[in-house]
Amino acid sequence: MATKRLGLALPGLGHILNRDLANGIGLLAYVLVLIWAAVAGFPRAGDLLFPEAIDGGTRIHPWVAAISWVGAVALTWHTAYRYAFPKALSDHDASSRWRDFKKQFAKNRVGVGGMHLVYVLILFAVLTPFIAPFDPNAIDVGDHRLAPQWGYLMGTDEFGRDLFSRVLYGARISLSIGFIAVSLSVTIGTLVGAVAGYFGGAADKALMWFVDLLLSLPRLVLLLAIVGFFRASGAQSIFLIVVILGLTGWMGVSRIVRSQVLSIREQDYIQAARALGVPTWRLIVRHIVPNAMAPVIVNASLAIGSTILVEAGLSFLGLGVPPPTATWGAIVNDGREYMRSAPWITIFPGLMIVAAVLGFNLFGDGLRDAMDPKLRGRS
Amino acid sequence: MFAYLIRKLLLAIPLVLGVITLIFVLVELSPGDATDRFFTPETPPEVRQLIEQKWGLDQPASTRYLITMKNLMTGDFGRSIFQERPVFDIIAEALPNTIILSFATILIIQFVGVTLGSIQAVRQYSLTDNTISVTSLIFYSMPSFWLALMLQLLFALKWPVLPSSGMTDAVMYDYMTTWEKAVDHLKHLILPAGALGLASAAGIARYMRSSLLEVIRQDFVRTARAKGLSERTVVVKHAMRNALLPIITIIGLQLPFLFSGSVLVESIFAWPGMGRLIVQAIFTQDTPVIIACFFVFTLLVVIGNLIADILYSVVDPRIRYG
Amino acid sequence: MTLKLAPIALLLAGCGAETPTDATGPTGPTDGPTTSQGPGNEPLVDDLGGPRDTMVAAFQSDADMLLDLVSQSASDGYIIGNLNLGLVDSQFDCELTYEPEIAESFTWNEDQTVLTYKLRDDIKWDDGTPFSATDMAFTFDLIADPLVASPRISFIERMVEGQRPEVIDERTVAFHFTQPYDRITMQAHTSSLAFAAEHVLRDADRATLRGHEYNRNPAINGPFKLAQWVPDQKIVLEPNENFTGPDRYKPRLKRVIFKIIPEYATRLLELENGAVDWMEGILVSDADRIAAEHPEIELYRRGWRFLDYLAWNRFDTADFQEKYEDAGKDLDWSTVQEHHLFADPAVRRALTKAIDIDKLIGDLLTSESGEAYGNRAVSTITPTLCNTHNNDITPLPFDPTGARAELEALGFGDADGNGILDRDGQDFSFTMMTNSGNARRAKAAVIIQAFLKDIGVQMEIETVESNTFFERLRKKDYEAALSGWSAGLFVDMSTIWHSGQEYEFNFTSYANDEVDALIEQGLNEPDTAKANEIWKKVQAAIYEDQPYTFLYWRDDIVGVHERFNDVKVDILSPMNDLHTWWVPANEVKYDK
Repeated sequence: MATKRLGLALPGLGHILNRDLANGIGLLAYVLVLIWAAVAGFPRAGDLLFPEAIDGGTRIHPWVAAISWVGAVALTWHTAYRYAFPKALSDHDASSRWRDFKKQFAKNRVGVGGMHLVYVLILFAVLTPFIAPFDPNAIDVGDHRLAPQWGYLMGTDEFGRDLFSRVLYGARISLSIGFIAVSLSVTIGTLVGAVAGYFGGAADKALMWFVDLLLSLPRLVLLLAIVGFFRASGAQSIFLIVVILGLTGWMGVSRIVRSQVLSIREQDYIQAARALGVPTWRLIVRHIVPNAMAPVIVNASLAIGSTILVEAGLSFLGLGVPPPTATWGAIVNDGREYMRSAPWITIFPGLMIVAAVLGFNLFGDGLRDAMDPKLRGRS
Repeated sequence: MFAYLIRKLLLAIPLVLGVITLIFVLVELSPGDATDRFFTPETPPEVRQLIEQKWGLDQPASTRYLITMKNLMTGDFGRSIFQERPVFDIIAEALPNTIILSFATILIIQFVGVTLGSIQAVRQYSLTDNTISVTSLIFYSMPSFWLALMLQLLFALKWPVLPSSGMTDAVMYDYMTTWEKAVDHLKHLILPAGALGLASAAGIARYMRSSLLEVIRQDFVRTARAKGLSERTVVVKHAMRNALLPIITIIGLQLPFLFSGSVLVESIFAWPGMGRLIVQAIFTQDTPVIIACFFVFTLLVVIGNLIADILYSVVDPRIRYG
Repeated sequence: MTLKLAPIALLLAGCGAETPTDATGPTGPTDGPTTSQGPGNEPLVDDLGGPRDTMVAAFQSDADMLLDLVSQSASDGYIIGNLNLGLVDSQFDCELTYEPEIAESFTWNEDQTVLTYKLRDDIKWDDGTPFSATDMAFTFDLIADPLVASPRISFIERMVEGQRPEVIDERTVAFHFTQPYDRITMQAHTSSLAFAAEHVLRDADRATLRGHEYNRNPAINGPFKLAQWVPDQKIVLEPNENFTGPDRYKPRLKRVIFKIIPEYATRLLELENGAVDWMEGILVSDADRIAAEHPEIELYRRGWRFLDYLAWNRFDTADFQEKYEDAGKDLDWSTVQEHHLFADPAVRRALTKAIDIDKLIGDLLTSESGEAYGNRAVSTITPTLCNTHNNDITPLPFDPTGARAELEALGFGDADGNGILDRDGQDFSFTMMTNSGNARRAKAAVIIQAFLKDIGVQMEIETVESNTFFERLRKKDYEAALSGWSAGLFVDMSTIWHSGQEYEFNFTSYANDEVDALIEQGLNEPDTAKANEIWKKVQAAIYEDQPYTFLYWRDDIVGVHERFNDVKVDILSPMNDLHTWWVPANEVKYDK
């Protein structure tokens, strides 16, 4: 009891002392990152937030970072507080399903661990302006191809650019691409799946046939073809990449949504609503789809992981985001020629990819296990 | 059974047609193509016309579409614009190499995955189980190209035990005995197939673990145990067979993924397969090769799924296709 | 020995995947003579007694077409050069000179319009048919045929139709030119390629010549034969047992295997662990390490062969494309709208001054031990052509403050305070395109971007896939471009700098009447010394105008295992005179 209150002094401590390792380590990690950001960033805060020359959009990001820092501190501390002083259950906490789900998920240490890993990465990405010691594109900040050392935590690349800064900024891009592309996929997939599942018949057959077709194509090769074709017209850009990633990843979602809709459609409350004359579109959007989303969320988490992998593959082939923007895959590609003389250029971004994808996979697995009624009562 | 297979094959035809159509549309939409390199600003119009005729570019898109369709069905893949050789020859050279690599990769995936997954299931929640879980997940999250580079660094450079590229030893292969040749092939296969397969193997391990766990809980297993059969017989003979069923279907689903990965891994290990071919074709906008490659990919996926179906029925005698 | 082939005076450099080497076309013209013949200096017959060795070379990409008159890739060139003898044998020492090879002698007529060759009688194709004048006439006939679309078509530009060459008898030919120009170049145009066997190709369909079987299995007359070609894996050359020429051409290696390895790091890896004996294009950043860790690998430098430059398009792209579509070759350049930034030489000069080119060389082409593999460039003539290169041109100094001041004097200022110079409401902002897969240029682009940013110029980098890149250069569809040339070893400055519309490599639409006149004069000047003086003036005038920002010439580093003796790596070829390379009996590595 009292030990939990120690978390107020140092979030995470309370959890650890009460053997909740996953959450404890997670919170401690947040604290670490926040302190790091503060130590590395506050001395420069003036310059970052009020730069002399306005240079494109870079002014917004330090402000976002600053605000997020404050928010993250508040949230972290709040979590520790709630752990020490839990809120009493009140009567009208209606959504017990959600509550159950949270409880179930919390039991899965690995899933919780994944969640924290993802949050830490996001935190790093958001706080990058404070943490990154150098401009990721600034050349000659040190000798070229320096090994990792103090001051250059991941070494420097062939231009003398600090790899740590590049990897951090790469996190922002890779994660953003992942999130946005998957959001696009989920939207399209839900639409297609809902239409197919609700209306059935010819539309269903046609749509699912199309889905099978796309699924039988190797995704990377399809992406290569599309990006390869269109880059010849000079249209290569991060926007195009994201859109194409989104357009090639919705198939799994549509299948999931379709099967969910098929079962939900027959339920009583839907029949009732229909009898009451609720218009179809509203039926789908307000009633059916929200209930179908649970497995979609799981899929989305896993999909972010695989999107990051695919995007890295594209960048590796030179067809990803154009230079000098650095996605992790692009940095690995840059380092290919220096495998012998400066292997850290390929090693570190690769490790980051593994970490990010691992986080999303663990998180997604945890979500899936929490939703699966068969697993209740075990673990 | 036979009828089922025929039916499935017939169903695959619209799939293949659909793929070709899609690629064709993509190609049409994109600007330029490989014939551009034949033209200079000074190329006289008659020559331009001749060259266009030669490649059939003077026809409208719909005609070309039909011609392409017909040709593919009859096995005429046309000529590569870039290499000026029959596409069929080019693919005939590259395809066996990719099949060898894919086959080896599938073997690794299944062998490593099933073994690990089974060990995990049998020793559920033990330290072994958790270690393998964590390691699996890490491998599962690795980009294949990065794994390929790391493997190359480790096993070809730091500890030079395995060759770093190619399918066979460039110098000595022709002088090797059959046995040595086989060994040489194997040595060259390990790293690329490993890079391609380890990530998927990890996935299979997890799947196998949960599948086997489910099966073990079932009645027939309890019956077998009650009959006094040894634990090993129970697991291997009875449980495994049932647990393997979903794994086998996954093979089919994994094929497109394998081909994607091969694109990256092949170029790192200088493996002369379809992956490398299609990347080159896309970069040089060699339309006939691109279309033919997708066609072949799709065929392979269809065949792969069919094989999975057959295997499925072999493993589970209850399944009969009507 | 065998051929090194240079179709055009200057070749586009810079395509291909990740390599640092980017010679697109075949490299120089024919290579050096047989200065080294082995111990004792007698011509070698079959001598070594002991076992002969195999050499394993690493190629970045597979060979494509072995019919020289249609081939274009570097790999093709290396292979063809070993399968065929050249008409003449080139040597290079500040300029090209020619020695007999298939031709046993050659003579010029008095006004230098006719070049007559007398051929040896002992050179035969591998099926026993003698090499004859018919083959030469046939080859040029193919080159001239528009259906073939040969990249060598510029060779015949100044030849008299019907007499290219004139066949006087089976062993005598005479090339007739419409007018004399640089003698070395003229001779190069007659000899810088491997001839096609007429008796094999006489009935071949011209329009599909590139698809002919000959490309995969050519007729040969040189020291090596094509023993095996496993596509995308390896090419194996072995001594040609049907070779009928002099013994000094007979190879002293048992086999040469070309392993195809697209990945640079893998090639280097194999060179280091001994799986590969020969590799070109070693990066400067690896040179020191190899020298230190691998004393068994000899590093050779080839000479200033490759140029990187920044081209400024003086026309407004959109306007040019539009007008060119209508008028084509008859487009009158004076009607095209100029680019708002790059039409003014003063602006271009300022931009050059803003870039620290020596630092570029230091960063990109100088090894850690200080060895410089790059040389500041002032023209498209390589410094290796020492008599032609204008050594008196003083390069523009690195002077960012001066550059900025000059731009301000031209009306640029920062009216909107965004840190970017502007004039008349338009920012000094542009897009520079470069081709993908070239790490050195990618780096250079980033460094240049940083320098320009320092003086208030905003440059966007656009990476374009290689084939498209060349297309856009030819169509002049770009604002600025970071590209390269591979130096030709004979001089013809017209292809890049003459404003005549038939010169397809004038990517910047450079037009200077004085320079045009000088170029024409130089081309028509038969005396090489006098021509060189003219070329020097041309270079000076061009440098003044700065249509390019000339960056640097760079060297190419080739690594060869030390056990090979009589190795020749030079500006003509990274594997020159392969038939003279040999390994002492006690050092032979591959005994099978």
